This record gives sequence, C-alpha cells and structure tokens, in this order.
Amino acid sequence: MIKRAISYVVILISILFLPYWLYVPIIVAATVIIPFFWEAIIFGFLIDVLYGSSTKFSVFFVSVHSLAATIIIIAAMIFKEKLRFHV
Amino acid sequence: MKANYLLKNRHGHPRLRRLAILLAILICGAFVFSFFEGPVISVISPFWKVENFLFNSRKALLEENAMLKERLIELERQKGRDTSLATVLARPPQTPYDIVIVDIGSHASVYVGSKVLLPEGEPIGLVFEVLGKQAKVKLFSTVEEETDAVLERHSVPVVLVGAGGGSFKITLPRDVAVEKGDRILSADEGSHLLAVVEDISIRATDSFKEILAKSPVNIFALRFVLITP
Repeated sequence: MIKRAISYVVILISILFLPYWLYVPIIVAATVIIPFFWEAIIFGFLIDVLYGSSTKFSVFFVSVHSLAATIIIIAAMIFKEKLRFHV
Repeated sequence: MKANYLLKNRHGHPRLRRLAILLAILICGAFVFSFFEGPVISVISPFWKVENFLFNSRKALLEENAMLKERLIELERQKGRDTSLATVLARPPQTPYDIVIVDIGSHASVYVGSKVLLPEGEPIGLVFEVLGKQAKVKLFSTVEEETDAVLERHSVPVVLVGAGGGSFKITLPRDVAVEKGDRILSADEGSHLLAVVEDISIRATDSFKEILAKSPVNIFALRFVLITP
C-alpha cells in the first residue's frame, strides 16, 4: 500500500513538472512493478486532459495514454502469470 | 516434498474480472475527464506558476519583463491593435504534443484561432482551446499540423507540416532549388520567419524531395508569448 501511495506522488509530480520522456517510462515501470496498477489509466487520462489536443467526449474520443496504459497493464498481467523466477 | 492436488478456483475468473474493471475505468474515465478539463487545469496551474517562479531567477525575470513591456508597447504602436501578454505555464517537452498552456483565457478576449506570437513578433501557433483563465496553444510544429508558408528563395509557396519538437517537413518537386539555411516565411502580409531549412533528402528514383526544417525558436524555453484577439 505504501509502495502504491509513493508511486502516486512520484508520478503526479513527474507529470506536472518533468518532460514526457521521463514520466512515461516512470508510469510504465510502475505498471510493471506494482501488481494490477489500474491507476495508470487515470494518469493516462490526466496527461491527455492537461496536455492533449482535445478531450471532448465522443464516440471517437480515444485517450492515447490511457489506452496504452490499459494494454501495458493487461500485458503485464499475462506475463507475470507466465514468468517464474528461480533465485 | 508434498504434492498439492487442490483444484484451482475456476469459478472466480480473476483475469476476466480484472479486465472488466480496466474496461470500466477506461470508459468511465473518458466520460468523467472530458467534463473536468477546465477545473483540472485551473487547480494545477498555480503549481506551474510556483515552478516558473522558483526555477527562473528573480533578476532575470525582472529584466525580461522590462524588455517585454517595451517590446509590447512598440508592437501595439506598430500594429495598431491589441495584443495580450501571456505567461507560458507548460511547454514541450513537458507536453508531449507540442502544445503550450498559457495563463490567459476567455476573460482577456482570447478566442479559438487567436494568433500566438513571440515577443519579437514571429508567429508560433494558434489558440485551439480557451478555458476559464488558461488557454491551450497548438504550435505550428505539432505533428501533422499544416501551415501555409513561402520558401524565401524564388518565393515558392509551400505547406509546412509539423514533425514535433519544433521541426517541420516539406515535400517539394525535385527541380525546385533549395539549400540548407534557406528561410521559410509565413504566408501572411508580415512575412515572418517560421523555419530554416536544416536538411534535404532526395532519392535518385523519387520525383519529390523531402526537406526538414527547424523553427528558429527554442520552443523548450518559451516563457512569454503575445496573443492577438
């Protein structure tokens, strides 16, 4: 839980103040590290709301970042089930 | 080692449940966030102002402010029309789409389509969204954004296509003479400098050549802009 809370703060600050080539990898890393990090979708929406060209809701509205976050979460979910680490 | 023969719980379908949650968040988020764009930016803009204040030295700001005021008065005299000075709150590379957020909105006669200029007078983009006290500006270099322009050498009309990061692409017939360093000007009566040719790529079999141009403005360091109503 603490890991999640820290990740919220770090991601939020990085979205507000850091370049996109830093905050996008941070979100991807959090999605991979933290189990079922659905909050990445919300952060994706936040990026598009703040910096996107249009967020008017319509049938064709797609938030690129939240869609990408969804795909990464699903991929991480599947791969984590398949992977086994033997240390 | 003990063998475990317990059956897996196949009735819960945890993966399907998680997928359903993700889809629900995606759909609800698209709906909710589309209504809260203005308030979200209004809440966050004070943080950007603090960041601008903290990371730009006070002396440099005062000097630039004095210079801008002089320039603004001069511009207003020259053009005989009102321009509004706006502070840039967020700029590339913080914004991924070559979009700039400025602290001026509907209260200052800014409309969708208002031209955005540098303090020196060169146009850099257009306002595409006006919120309460903020506005979003799409720079000419936004990916796939098309801008009419003129290649200064031989006055050839061209279409500048944004390539992101302050860069542009132009496609021209291979016979048109272009050289590195050629200037590309705006198509309006002011003929302001929009870009400078940086690279020319041409293949022996192609009848067109692709020109890469770069904006003379460092869009990553924008701090103030002028907006015409």
